[in-house]
Parts: sequence; structure tokens; C-alpha cells
Amino acid sequence: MGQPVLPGTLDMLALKAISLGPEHGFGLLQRIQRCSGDVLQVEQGALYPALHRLEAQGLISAEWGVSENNRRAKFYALSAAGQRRLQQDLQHWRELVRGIDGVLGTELLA
Amino acid sequence: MIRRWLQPLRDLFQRRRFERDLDDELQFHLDSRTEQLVATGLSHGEAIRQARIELGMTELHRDGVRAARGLRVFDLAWGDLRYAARSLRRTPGFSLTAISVLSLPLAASLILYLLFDTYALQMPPVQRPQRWFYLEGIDELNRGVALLSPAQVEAIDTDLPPGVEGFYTTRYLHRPLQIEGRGGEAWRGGEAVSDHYFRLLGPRLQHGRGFLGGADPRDRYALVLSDHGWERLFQRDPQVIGRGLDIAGQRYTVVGVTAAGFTGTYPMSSLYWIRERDYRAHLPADEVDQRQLDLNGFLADDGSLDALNEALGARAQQLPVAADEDLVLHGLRAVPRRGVLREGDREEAMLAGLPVAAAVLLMLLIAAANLANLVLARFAARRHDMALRAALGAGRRRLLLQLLTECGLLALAAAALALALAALCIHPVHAATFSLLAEMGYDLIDIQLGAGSAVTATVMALIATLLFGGLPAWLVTAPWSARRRGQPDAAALKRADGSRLRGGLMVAQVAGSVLLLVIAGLIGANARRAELTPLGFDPAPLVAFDAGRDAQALARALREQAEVAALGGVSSLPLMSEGERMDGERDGRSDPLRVRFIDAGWLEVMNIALQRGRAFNAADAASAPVAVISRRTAELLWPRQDPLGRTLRLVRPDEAPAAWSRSVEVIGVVDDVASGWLVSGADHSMVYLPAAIGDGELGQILLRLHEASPRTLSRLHAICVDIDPGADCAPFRLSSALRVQRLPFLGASRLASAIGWTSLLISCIGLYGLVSYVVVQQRKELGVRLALGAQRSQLIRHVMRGAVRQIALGIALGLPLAIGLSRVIAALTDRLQTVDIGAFVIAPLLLAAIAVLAAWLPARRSARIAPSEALRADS
Repeated sequence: MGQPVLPGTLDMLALKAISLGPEHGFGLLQRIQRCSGDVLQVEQGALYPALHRLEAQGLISAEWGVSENNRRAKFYALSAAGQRRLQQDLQHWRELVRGIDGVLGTELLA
Repeated sequence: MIRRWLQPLRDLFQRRRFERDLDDELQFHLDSRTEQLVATGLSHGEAIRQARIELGMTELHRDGVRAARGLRVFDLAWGDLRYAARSLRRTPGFSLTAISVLSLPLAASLILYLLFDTYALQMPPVQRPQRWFYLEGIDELNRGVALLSPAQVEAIDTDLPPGVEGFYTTRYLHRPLQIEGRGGEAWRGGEAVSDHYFRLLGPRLQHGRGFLGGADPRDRYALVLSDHGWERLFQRDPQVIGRGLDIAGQRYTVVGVTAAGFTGTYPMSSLYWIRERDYRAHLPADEVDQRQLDLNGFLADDGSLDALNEALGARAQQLPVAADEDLVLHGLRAVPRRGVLREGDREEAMLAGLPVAAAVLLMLLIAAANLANLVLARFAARRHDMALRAALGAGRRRLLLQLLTECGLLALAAAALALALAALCIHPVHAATFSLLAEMGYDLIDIQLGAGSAVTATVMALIATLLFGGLPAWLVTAPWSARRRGQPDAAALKRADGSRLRGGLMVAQVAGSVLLLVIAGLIGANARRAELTPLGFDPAPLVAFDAGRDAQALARALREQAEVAALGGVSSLPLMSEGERMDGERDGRSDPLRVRFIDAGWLEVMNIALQRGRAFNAADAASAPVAVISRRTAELLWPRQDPLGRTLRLVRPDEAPAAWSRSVEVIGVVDDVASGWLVSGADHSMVYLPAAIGDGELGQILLRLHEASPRTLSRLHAICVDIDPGADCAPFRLSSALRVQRLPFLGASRLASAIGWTSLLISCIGLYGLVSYVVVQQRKELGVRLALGAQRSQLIRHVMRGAVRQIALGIALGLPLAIGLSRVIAALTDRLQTVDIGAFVIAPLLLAAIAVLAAWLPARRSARIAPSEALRADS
């Protein structure tokens, strides 16, 4: 059963998914689910405000194009600023995970 | 980064495209998911249904996207605007009242600002205004001397100091003009300027050219018109270049017309410019010693005023020595020009404008307080609406914004109305304020309402919004502040009713109105005093001429005219000055006295009767040690004694430019007259000393005419010009001097009354509204009282109690303020009357009566309440 995305991580997940190659919103949703092994379930409607927020911040760019099924779709691509931001977010995430793992891995002293 | 900031605006202006793209994006998502579900075996209808459920509420997502793109702010603001407009449309009475109340003081402020801006702040359209300066001389008392003589200018201008691009001179002329091909003449204003005037100032020209400079022969007797002059003198004749204009007997040819907007650099409009060298060609050689020229200049790109002033310090020593000690300069200084007025005049204008600005500001505050009261009552009545919005998630900030939007809309509407009122009234007010100048033939600078005025009105309106809307909105939304949890209780809602604030605002309005009305009363009292002060002589048939260089010849020629009943000479004109101040010493005491030098004919001209002794006669030579004094002077110097034969020593005070003293014997006593400042009444003192026309002491020749028609004045002017073409031969009517003294008080009195009564009207509107609100709010309680047997008159008294208390408190607060202000005025000047029964007693009583009436009218409604209806209705 899928887990909801942790609050505050949707932007990072979206940036990572976009970094794998330009894609439309629906495709990005599929990409996140697939890469997480269907563990993560992104609330579909929440993705679009996140994408537009990232676009407004200049972290991604958007262009209208034609999808694989010949429909008009909006494709998102990572910008240089977005690449830098992704690296920062990944580093913070890894530090956070390391820290949490450190706490959770500590055994009770007898 | 800038593109990121502009993106929301781009989305706003391309809103349809943005919404369409968003629809397309979400539709694509739906279609893609539907296809996916169909591929798993679901029917098309089922697939769509499931896809929609998975996507969720698309309108919420759209809102999320709009918020992410920064459009939510605009959407909320637009929503607030529409709601505010609907709300104001539903209550036209309140809206119109509020807009009218605010627009009046806004219009007054705008008119005042326009007048002040035009005369004191605005820069004429010159090139490089930041490099513009004027030169003034410095006398021995370190006072600035505005005008320089041609000889002094020549000494300064001989070689340019370092850092100066160039100097130019101007001289304002007010001469009779005759237009080629047309009969008759008119006195109009213009300037005589140096050759480089147009090159340095750089005004645009719409026809022809300016002066070429460098003594170019093509400039000989050339004349340049302003746009104003082209309209007034030549009715915009397209063939104006080459036409002729006669100025004081010399023909000039029009060579150019400046663009609209440039009327010279004086606070009066110049209709034409001629060269100073052409004008001076008519002046006799000894006039070069006369101080008549304004010297101005422009700094070079690398110049500075400090360096210039340092260089001028040395140059002042090289100025030609003037024969008259009064003309000696001890220094020179360059002062930056900031408009048409010099620094000293600007400061005086600001000083004169301050009281008016204070009164208008007070009127604006009263209007704001009034509106705050109305708005407070209106907002308090919408508490249910606000509670509903709060329950739906609106925080205090949202509620505040909504209320302030409504106030802002009112303020903008008031600003628009104020602009319209100002556009209607600015020219009549301008003309009325400077009517005397206009009557004397001076043209006024054009005042135009422009984009700047619209911006000013809008900014003032928005500030007023904060004044009258901010506090009520803050108070009424207090129950929903962030600190509180959940919905406010009844007590909190009751506290936010703002009844105390309303009462306080009402008291402040009444106090402000009392202050303005009392001040208006005092100004009116002074105006009446100026109007009713008996002069002791009739100024109507009296006309003055400048004595000029050949005063005796002028006096002889004028005396021969049949229209002249009497002629005399005087040192300073009555009603234009109080006479010279000297110290009168006798019997070991000294008193300040006023002195005029007169010839033997002057008392007859003025019809001042002799009480005792004799007047001056031909045998009394100039500088003879005799004097004639007024009755009050006799009483002052020798109370209840015979002054004839007594000796008085007159001494110029220490601060006078030149020392002078004379011992005189009193030979006559004449009636008192009011020949100085009318508000001071009859002259406190007056000593007449003998002089003769032509001996230099008597600068003015005064005539009493049998009839003073324009034809007579024109003939006398022509006689003067014949004798001395270069003299200032403009006849001056003493009745004009009377108007000069009375007009400011009359104008100030009318203005103060208008402001005072408008403030009272605004306060009464506020009282009426407040009492009406109380009647509506207390309808149920009043119904209960009636049902329990209360008399209708008791109800009215009950309703009015609060209003009467506020009126009384307001008067109790305003009256001491008015008294205090009058004491301050009395300390600053003894020329004005600062105690008047009418102002301090009648004005407040009248205000109280009118205010009580304004409160009684709505209070009467309480007596017409039907108890059964009131009890049935919800409160």
C-alpha cells in the first residue's frame, strides 16, 4: 500500500523526477511512483501547484509540446538553478536521514 | 529575477490564456489517466469517474496554482473591490454623504497646493535648473539687496568668474503698450533682458527666434512674445512675426514667440521681452546708478556655488562707489534659484500660507473624524457579516483589508470629485486672490491642473483612508484578532462597537469647528475694522505720481491742469506706509514717533483740518526747524498741555542707515487721520516736517482731482512722460492702496468663514448621522420605554443627552484652544485685534444652537416609534 509523500518533500521529489528528463505532469507523477516502487503515492492534484511554484521560482522551465499519444501537453525541464537546488535538497535529505538513522540505530544500554 | 517578479503581472494581463493553459494541463492529466484505466479493462465512463475521483477537486488545485503563481493576491483584491462597490451602491445616502464630506477639504487642499506650487515651488521650464542662481548684494547690515544698478552689473559681468557659464539681467516693466494698427493703449507687463537671456535659459520657441546675442544688429528693437502675449496682444495672429508694438513711445518688432508654459521668471506673467540695451537707450546716463536689475546666471558643468561665492567676495571690492550711501554694497552672494520667488520671498510666502494650510488641514481632520464616525457605525452594524466570514476562515487581516478597501473606494471617489471641484474653482479662486494685481494690469501666471494634481489628490485621499478607515476597521475587527481562539463572545462584540471612540471623535469635531469659527470671527472683526476705520480723509480723488528727477517741472505742469484741485509733496504715501520711525525726545523722555516730510500744499490736498496754530507756508524753507503734529501726538508728548511753541528733538534710531537728528518747534496741531495700517486705527502718532518739492526728501507728488476718470489719468500720465520719458509715470490711485490694505483681510475673512462654516456643516452631518444611528440601535429599548409609559419628550431628551454632552465638551475643549491661539497671535503682533465678543461668544453659541438642531432632527424620530413594532422587530 502506498504511503503519502512526507510533507515538505514534494518539491524535492518533483525536481528529481524532472532531472531524469523533460516530462509532463502526469508523466512525472508516474515516474515518482515507479521509482519509489509504488511506495510513494503523490496526491495528484497537489503536484500541479508544486510544479507551478517551482516554475515561478525559476527552478524549472515549461514548454507546450505534443505528448506520446499526440495530445497537447506541458513539458517541464530542469533549469541550472533547479539543478543546484536539487543538489542542496539531496544533501540536506541525506544528512537528515543519517541523523534519524543514527538515533533509530542506537541500542538501549543495558 | 526581474522576470520572476513580473511573471504574476504577465499572468494577470494574459489571464484568459493562463486559465486556458491550466484547464488544458488538468484535462490532459484526466485524459491520460482515463486512457490508462481503460487499458486496464475499465469502461470509458467508469475510467473517467475514477480518474476524476483520483484527481480530486480541480477548483481547489486551480486555486493552489493561482496562489503559487502569485495571482491570489490580485483575485482577493478584485473580490474585495467588487464587494465594496456593491456594498456602497446598496447605501447611496451614506456613500454620497461620505464622498461629499471628504471631497470638500480635499478640493480646498488641492487648490491651496496648486497656488503654492505655482508661486513658491514650481520651476519655470528652463534648461539646467540645478545650475541656476541669482546674485544679490549685501548691505552693511548683512541684508540681501535684490536689485543691482547697471554700473554694478557691468563691473561684475566684465569677465566671468571661474565656473560660471554666463550671467543675464532682467528688469520687469509695466508700461503702456500700443499695438500697430490698433488705437488705444493698455498697461501690460514684460521684461527688459540682456542679450544672452534666451541662450542661457533655453525656453522653447514656437515661432521665429529669440535674441541672437552679442549685440547683433538684427536684434535692435526686436521683441519676443510669450504665448500669453501672442494671445492677449495679437489674438494668435499667424502672421505675428514682423508686426509692431509700441512700448512707451518706441516701436519694437516681433521676431519670435515662446512656447506655451514659459512666461518668464517673475511671479507675474510676462507678455514680451525686449533687450535691456534698447530699453536703456531711452534712459538718461545718470540712471545707471539706479538699482533696478535682477542679475542671474548659470553655473558651468564644473562650477560650484561655493567657489563662485568665494570669487565674488573679491569682486565686491571692485564695485563702483555709489554716490548715495543707500546704494553702497559691502558684498555679493550667489543663491540657488528654486522657482519664480527669491529665497526671502519664498519664506514669506510659506509663512503666509502656513495659517491657511493649518486651517485646511484642520478641516480635513474634521472631515476624516466625521467619516470615521460614520464608518464606525456602518462597520459595527455589519458584525454578523464579519462573523460569518470569520467562521469561513477569514482572519483579522482579511477582514481589515475588506473594510479598508471599502474606505479606499470612498476616498478615491472623493478624490475624483475633489479634482473636478478644484478644476472648476481654481481659476476663480486664483483670480480673486490676486484680483488687485489683475486690476493694476499685471497678468497672472497660468495655473493648470495636470497629472501631478491627480497624483496629489489620490495620495491625499489614500492618507485620509488610513485616517478615517484605519482606526474604525482595527477596532471593529478586534474580536477576531489572532490572539483570540474561536468565535468572539457577546462582550467582545459589544466592546468592538466603538461607542466611546465615536463619542471622542464627535467631541474632537465640535472642538475643531469651534476653533475654526472663532478664528474666522476674529479675522472678520479685523476685516470689519479695516473696512470701517474712519480715515479722516477721502482717498477717492487722490492720485500720486513718482516725483522723478525733475519734480519741480512736473509739479508746475500738473498744477496748471484744470482737473487738479490741489497738489502737494510727501516723503511716503499715506496708506502705503506708516511714515518714517524716529525717536522724539523732550523733557528727558523719549517716545517712538512716526514722521512724514510734506510741503506746504499737502495738508490742503489731504483736507486735513488745522486745529491750532498754523500749517507750513512758503516761507518755511525745507529743513526749517518747525513741525506740525497730530492731535494724538500732542496728547502723547504733552498731555493736557498746550504743545504750541514746545521743542521736540527728533532722532533717527541707531539701526537706521544714516544718522540724523533735528530739533523742531511745534507750530501747529492738525486732526488725526488713519494713514498707516487701517487695523491699527487712527495714527498713533504723526509729526509733519517741512520740505519742498524737488529737494529730494519728497519722493511722491499727490494730487486731488476734481474728477479721476481714466481719460484724465491718461492725460496726466502723458504730461509726466513729456517731462521725463524715462520716469515711472504710472498714476497711482490712493483708493488702490486702500484696497491693498482691505483686500487681504476681506479675502482672509471670506476664506476663514468658508472653512469655518464648512467644518461646522461637516460636524452637523456627523451629529445627525450619529444620533440617527443611536435611534436605530436603541429602537427596541425606546419601544420598551414608550410601552412602559414614557413621554415622547422624555425619549427625545434621553436620545439627545449624549449628543448635547458631546457638543458641550467640544465647545469646552475648543474655546480654550481658540483663546490660547489668539494669545499667541497677540504676542506675535500688536497690529491685529485678538479680542472680540462676537468671535468668542456669539460664534460658539451659534455653533451650539446649530449642532443641537442637527441632533434634534433625528431624535424626533424616536418619538414616532410604534412600541409594538419596535418590540416585535429584532434588535
